[in-house]
Amino acid sequence: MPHIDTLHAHLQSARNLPALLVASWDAFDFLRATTHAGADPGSGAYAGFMLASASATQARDAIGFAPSMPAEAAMPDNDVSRIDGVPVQPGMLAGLAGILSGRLTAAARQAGDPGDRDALARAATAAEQIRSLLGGDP
Amino acid sequence: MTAVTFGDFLDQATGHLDAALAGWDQDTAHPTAAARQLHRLVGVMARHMDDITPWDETEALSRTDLTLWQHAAVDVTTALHLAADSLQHGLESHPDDGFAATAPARHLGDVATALIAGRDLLETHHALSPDGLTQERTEWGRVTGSALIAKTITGQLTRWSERLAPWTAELALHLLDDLGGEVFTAARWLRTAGAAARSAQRADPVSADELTLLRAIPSAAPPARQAPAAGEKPEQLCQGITLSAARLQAASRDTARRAQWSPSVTAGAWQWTATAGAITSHLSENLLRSLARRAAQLGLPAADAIHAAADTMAGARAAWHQVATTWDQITTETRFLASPAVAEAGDLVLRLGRLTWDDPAWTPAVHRVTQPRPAPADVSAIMTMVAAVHRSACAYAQVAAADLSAVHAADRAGRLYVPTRTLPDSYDIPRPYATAPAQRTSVLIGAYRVAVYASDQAASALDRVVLAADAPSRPLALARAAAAWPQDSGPPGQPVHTGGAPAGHRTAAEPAGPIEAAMRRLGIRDAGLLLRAAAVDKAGRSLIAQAQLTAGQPDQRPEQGYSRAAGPAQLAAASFPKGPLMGLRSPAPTAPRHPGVPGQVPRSTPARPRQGDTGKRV
Repeated sequence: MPHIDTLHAHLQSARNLPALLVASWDAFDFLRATTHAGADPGSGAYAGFMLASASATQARDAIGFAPSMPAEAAMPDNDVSRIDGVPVQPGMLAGLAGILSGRLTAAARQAGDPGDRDALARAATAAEQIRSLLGGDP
Repeated sequence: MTAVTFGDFLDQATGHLDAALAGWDQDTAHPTAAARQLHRLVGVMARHMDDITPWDETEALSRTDLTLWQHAAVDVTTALHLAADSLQHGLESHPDDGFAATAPARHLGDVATALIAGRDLLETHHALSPDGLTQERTEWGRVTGSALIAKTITGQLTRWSERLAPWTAELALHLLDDLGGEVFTAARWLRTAGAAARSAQRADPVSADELTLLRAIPSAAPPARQAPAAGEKPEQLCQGITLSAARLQAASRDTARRAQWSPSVTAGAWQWTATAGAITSHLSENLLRSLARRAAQLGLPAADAIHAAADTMAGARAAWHQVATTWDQITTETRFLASPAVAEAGDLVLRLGRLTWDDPAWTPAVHRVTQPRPAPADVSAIMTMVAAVHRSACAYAQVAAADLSAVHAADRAGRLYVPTRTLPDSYDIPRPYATAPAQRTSVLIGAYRVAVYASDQAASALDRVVLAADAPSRPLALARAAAAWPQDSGPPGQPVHTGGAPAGHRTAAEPAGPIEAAMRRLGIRDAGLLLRAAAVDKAGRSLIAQAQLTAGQPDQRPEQGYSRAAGPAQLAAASFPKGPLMGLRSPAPTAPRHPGVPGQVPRSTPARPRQGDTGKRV
């Protein structure tokens, strides 16, 4: 399970589209697993975490089908069971989603392949939804 | 906002019938025009009965599993056709003289029009499959095809026949010659139709609930979407939930067929719907617990049942949660495209959230977490909220079943994929995703099966609450009960027609056969017995005709014992020998005439056949 700071660093240091796609895939899968773990039926925040988790899955798979996604990229194993019990801080997750949204939106503008553009735009939209759900605007 | 229902047309028809039968104005009424509109109305009634009576007299005689109401329906159908035949025959020599706009002809025409509209509404719940078979198109299809609805319609049309009979007899007095005679004959057949269900009504009366259910049948067309608006009041939210639930159900139809090929049916949409199902169940559970506490404070007997329903809702939440989680590792080649179901599920979440939490602008964002909305203090408001949750639960029960079928179809079509890294090392696939192995898709399908069960349990628990407490969604609970009854048709979505050679009603113009003649010689005057005797004769004629076709011999009718000089009027007159217009009988036609069943509107689909339907229709 990567640390959130590592994911931030990977996103910031990605210098080309394949590297950004791999870093984004990792970050979205992390968001998927952590928001899933945070979806506590005993809490009023259940809906927000569940929707954020679904959005993260959408974004991760959109990235996964991007034509420039390296086929040989190692995909992390963010097992939900290994996250259960770890306190989830929505603000930190929203911050990661915000970075994803910004980088993917910019990359979508520059991507030459329509398939990449579409995947990046979809993932950026989903990242923005996650940011809004977890931290968001009051 | 309220969808049109069968009850709306029934009310219109009843109002016009009351007006038509209110009296006879000698100065303004035009009897021939009235007879013409009566013909149209009786024809529509006969067609209605055709729809719900998949057996002809012969089959009804040979079956031991039919109820009293089903036997009565056969008799009512035949009597109405015979009444229509008589009117048609009488009107043949009387061209339309354009007085349809005068009372009571206008009212009778309006009754027929309302009844046609009601019949069309019922038909919207069925559709033809590509191979020409009739299938249930909506969740109401099973209800409209149920024995219970057939019974209620039979009861309704029987009462109308009973009311029309004396009026029709009076109408005959205002007509001359052959038309008057035929109208009087029609009056007798209407009286027969009116009496045909008496024993059934005595043994198993049409209940208020059955009438409520008939009246509640909506059109298959979903109501127009109304996007949620911040600040909606609880009653507006409940109405909105009703609307969103109806639209969600409509959106979930037909997904199984499209799931095999349509890129618009995606894993993302399925996962989103499952996620919304979990959230909706979670919100419903919270709301029901709040309502149960208030109901207990008020001493309502429904408190425990509401609490029990909340428990089942927790089970539904867990089941949907598991489905959503399982989708984390399975996808389709197109990951997400917004579908109508996604939009409706989103509306439902917002409205239910605003009804549950004390925030009129609630959204699922985590920073909007707040306290539950205080439960209302009056019973009516509590039950309105319970009804809203009930409708939502029933919608998700339907969505679960539809999505299970759709995912099955997508699996069979090879549209499900998993991340390659989640596969064993023996898989050497140079792509991020690979076709999902069976053991993975079986987990997903298993999760859906649990969701189907849990969602149905939740809906059933709420059925019990609303039935016991007479909540506004009572018709929905009645519909679910009716759909669960043993059916004459197959399961929902399955073809319900087994085909069969047309047998046909005995038209009034056909000659009486030896069985009927023998009954008459014995002095039998019971119209029901005579009808059945005629049916046996009809079956014999059909059998002989079929045998002649097989043997390549021409039709040799009329045969000894099969010819009859008397026409339908005389048959009717013999059944009711005390009628006042016996002397007005016109000579019977010597050749069979085409039976008249007016009131038929052009239909895009033929009348739906049912299992066991022999195709009998005049």
